[in-house]
Amino acid sequence: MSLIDNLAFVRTQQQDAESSRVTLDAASRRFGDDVDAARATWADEAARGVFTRYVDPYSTMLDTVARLLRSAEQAQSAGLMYTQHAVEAAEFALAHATGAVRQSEDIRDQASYAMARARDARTAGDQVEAKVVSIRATLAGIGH
Amino acid sequence: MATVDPRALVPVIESLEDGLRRLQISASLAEEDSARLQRAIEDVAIGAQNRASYAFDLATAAMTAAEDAVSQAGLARSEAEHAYRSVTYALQSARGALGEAQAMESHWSTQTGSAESDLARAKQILTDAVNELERLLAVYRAAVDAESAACGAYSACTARQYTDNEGKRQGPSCTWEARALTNAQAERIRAEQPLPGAKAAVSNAEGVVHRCAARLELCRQRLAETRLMVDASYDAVSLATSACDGARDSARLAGETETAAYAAREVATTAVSDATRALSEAQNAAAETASARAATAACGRDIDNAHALVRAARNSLGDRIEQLVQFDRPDIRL
Repeated sequence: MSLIDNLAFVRTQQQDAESSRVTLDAASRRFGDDVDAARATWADEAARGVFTRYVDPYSTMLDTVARLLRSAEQAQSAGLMYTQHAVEAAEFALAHATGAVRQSEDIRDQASYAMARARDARTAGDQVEAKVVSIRATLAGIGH
Repeated sequence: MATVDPRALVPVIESLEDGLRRLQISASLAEEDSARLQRAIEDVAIGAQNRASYAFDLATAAMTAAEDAVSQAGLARSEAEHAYRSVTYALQSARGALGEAQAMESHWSTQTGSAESDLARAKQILTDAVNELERLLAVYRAAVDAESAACGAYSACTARQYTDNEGKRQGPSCTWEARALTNAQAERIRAEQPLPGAKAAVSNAEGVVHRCAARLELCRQRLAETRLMVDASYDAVSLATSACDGARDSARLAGETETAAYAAREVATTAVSDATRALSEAQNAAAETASARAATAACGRDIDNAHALVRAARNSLGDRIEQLVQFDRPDIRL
């Protein structure tokens, strides 16, 4: 699976997490409504004790959890955005580097070929020189 | 404050307890999803970092290869230029050798023609000398025959002579025969005289023919040798021309390669820059995901605390329900 595919999968998970958080928000609101209804129904001192001791701290904590979840969601969203940038930059750099390696190796091969051709030409020149020396020696031997 | 039957509060408390349970489940799901998302983001961020590192290594390798290519292309261009100068000089040498070989071929061709002419002239002189000798020999042989005939006639004449009783010679005088014999002898001697000169002339002519033939043979041999050298020079010129073309091509190729190598180095430099930027992006992503991890962990801790609290609340609410269910005095407030 490529990083791009992984990113798509992460996006799905992000939607799941957001959906869970929305569900939790809805549940919190429903619970708040239930608590309000219960307060209206049960408004004596004992009830206040129950609400003060067990329900209100939980509500406060739920608020904190909701806030933290949103904060985490924002941080994850930012992290995901940076990660996406990093993935895109990495994929781009990798493609560019792969192309650069191939190009450089091709050019290096071409340079080796050019060098071989130049050496062949030089060898041929040396052979011609040797031949010319031999011809001149033979001509000198033939004389006039 | 209204007084109610505490048992009437049981559904309210049960509702609250249910609400707490649902909240607990929702919160757990939200926290788990958040944690899972966090892990997935971190996995991808780590993958991006690895990919960026790999890209950087690859770009560095590309840069090294490009530097090698630039260096090799430079060497190839230098070698090609050197080869071009070398083969150009070789081509000039070969052309010079061809000119020399052609001049020598022309020389020996002229010499051969001259030798053929000399030989033909010498052969003609020999033929003339031989003919002259044969003519002189024919004259000589005729003179010998004439002398022989004259000698026979004289002998026959003298055979007819005799000496009489008085001691006088009798018979034909043989004067004419004697004169004829003398003349024949003189003629034979005259015919004999030019023969040594004619023979010497033939011998001389034969010597000249022999020398001319030898010279002609030498000239032909030299001509053949110089023609071989002309052919060899043509081969050398052809080889040098081909080498010159090859050197020119290789110089052009090396020049193009060097230009391409510089371009490849630019590409590799850009690739390194891209990879460096990708690494930086990956580091940013790592930092951001670390920040998100801290937020997620804080959320997890609060969820745990909330769970503990909700457990306590539910237990307490459960206890209260038990108490309310067992209570049978509605006038007493709990």
